[in-house]
Amino acid sequence: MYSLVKQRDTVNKWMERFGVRFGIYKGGNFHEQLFPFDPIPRVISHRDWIEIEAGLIQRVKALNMFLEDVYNEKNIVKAGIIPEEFIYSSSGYMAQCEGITPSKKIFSHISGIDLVQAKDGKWIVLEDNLRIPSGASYPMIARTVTRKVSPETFKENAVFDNRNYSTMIRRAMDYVNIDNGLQVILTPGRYNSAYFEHSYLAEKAGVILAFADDLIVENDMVYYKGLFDKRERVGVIYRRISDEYLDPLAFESTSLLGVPNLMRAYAKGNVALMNALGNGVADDKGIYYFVPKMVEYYLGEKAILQNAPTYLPYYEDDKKYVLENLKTLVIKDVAEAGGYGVMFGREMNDEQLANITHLIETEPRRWIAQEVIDFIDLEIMDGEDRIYRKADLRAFVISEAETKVWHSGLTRYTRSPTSFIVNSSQGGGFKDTWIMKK
Amino acid sequence: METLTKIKVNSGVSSAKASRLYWLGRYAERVYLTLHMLRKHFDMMIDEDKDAYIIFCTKMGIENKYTSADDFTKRYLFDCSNPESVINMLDRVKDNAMMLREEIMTETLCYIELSIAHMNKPEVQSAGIEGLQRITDYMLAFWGSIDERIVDNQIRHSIKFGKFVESLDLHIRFDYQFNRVEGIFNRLLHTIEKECYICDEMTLLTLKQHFTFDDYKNIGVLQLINSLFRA
Repeated sequence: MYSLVKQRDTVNKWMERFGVRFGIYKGGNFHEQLFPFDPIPRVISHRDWIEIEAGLIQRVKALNMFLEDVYNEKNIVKAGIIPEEFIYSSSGYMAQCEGITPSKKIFSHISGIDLVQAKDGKWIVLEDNLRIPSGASYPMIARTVTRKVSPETFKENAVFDNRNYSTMIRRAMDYVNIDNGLQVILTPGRYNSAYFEHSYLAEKAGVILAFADDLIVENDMVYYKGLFDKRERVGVIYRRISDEYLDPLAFESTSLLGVPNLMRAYAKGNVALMNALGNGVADDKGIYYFVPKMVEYYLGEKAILQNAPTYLPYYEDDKKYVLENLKTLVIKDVAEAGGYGVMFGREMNDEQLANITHLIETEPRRWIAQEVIDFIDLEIMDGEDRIYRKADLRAFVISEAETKVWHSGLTRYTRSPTSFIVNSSQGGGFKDTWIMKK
Repeated sequence: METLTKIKVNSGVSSAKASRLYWLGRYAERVYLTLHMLRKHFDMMIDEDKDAYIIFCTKMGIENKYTSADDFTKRYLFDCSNPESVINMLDRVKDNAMMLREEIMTETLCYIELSIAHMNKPEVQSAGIEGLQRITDYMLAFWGSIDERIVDNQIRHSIKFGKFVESLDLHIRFDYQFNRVEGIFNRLLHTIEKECYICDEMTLLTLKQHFTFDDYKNIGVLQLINSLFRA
């Protein structure tokens, strides 16, 4: 691994050559920047991985069962496990999806589960991302580069190859494809923060990268608009556009990113969408609290992976605890994502504490509170020095005929010594994630 | 190796994609040929005509808004706020190439990334035109990669159709002799005869009638050349 660390500059030159960037809006302007890569990988032992993998498969299976249930029978609500208002008040719940069962009954084909490792070694789930989780392309291309510049590193270390992610995606697309139609990745365009990933995955999966204008719905079928009005039927869309912008006739009417009447084609079962519409109800920060209960309810098993200790101010007892312990907790706005809306009580002044107290009292459903997990620091290179920074892991779970976990993941680290926020949009960097074969 | 998916299972060219392919070819060729033409005019500026850059502007059909040869060198090559600068041409290549990554592949796109990174280096900017030989090398590598890596004929020919249209346009503007321009025209025809569906047949027919030794420099011919694309 030493040679890989020594070759850091070479790695970064390759990344620049390949255009490995992410977009960010600052002050209303779009900027593209390189995603800082740290050459020291996160290493997960084979033994640890076996448990993580089993836990992730179990969790995603339960989440898929929950989504099928919540848009159909709602047995989990009837059983009193999740209060009804947590479903209907979730910003991710879509009434338009009631009664719709997607192709092969899969809702979350690609799930990004965010974990951290506590100092006692336990892996803890921080968040589920079941809509359009991004980031897998970065460790994938990083591995392509690191194998070039330091082949000896991979001769000496038995690491699972992670360059099969695009194959996994394509298999998932094949599995749900309707009538053997075209397979497309639908991107909102090059000014999306994850555009590099959209285009890179389209290239590596061998599918079409489509923009909204390339698709049309006629007679409730989706077609790719070829030259001179030629129409080719589309069977599956891996969409990288948020639910609300996907169809201006069904959702946000001002959206220029979506395809008019796509919802009708989807509802009639004429096209598969990856991931399904309405998944946001299951990755809501409030619903997160109930995921271990879902595992027990649907699978009759104890959850292998635990959540961070979480409190819902919606429950009076929890609210009382949260308000009494604000200074030691982290408070999260359930409507926010990307590291926004996260507040550490210990960093708040009296006025801010009074404000958040008022908000929790008046809008209890909007907030969750968690104990601060003192997760482990990972070594990163800072110039010629090795320093330690907080890091999380986004694992990717692919659901097709079987549910499989990609043998890698996106390890994001914070660049600030005092921060726990690892998101790239907030200046974080990334590492490769090595899963050891033995 | 099972891990790398290289076989493309789908192919499709929408009107918008066809337009990107065509303009990718045009802008890439514009960068390459502009540097070529610039070198000739910079050579003239050494001891023949210190204001040869004005001739260059006239032939390119751009306004001479430059105050001197030095000002021209700086602003025409490297000024991002100058819409006609070479660095902006490269940005237009990148705009199109980025949206075609799945067709042209990362290994081809990277020559554009390398070109832009090179042009943005302060030491290159201070070296002027001499520092841009590497851009020419990258553009040649780009065209090589287009030929070697793109197996879909329709995609490859659409890009090369744009390339030859641009090449014809610039060679006529810069007063190249008929036999040289005719050679490029024949290469364009050769590309169209293969799998290329984005050439307007009626316009081509008219162009063939007017593309003669006597008329090839007429403005009408240039207009026809620039109207060949349709999607």
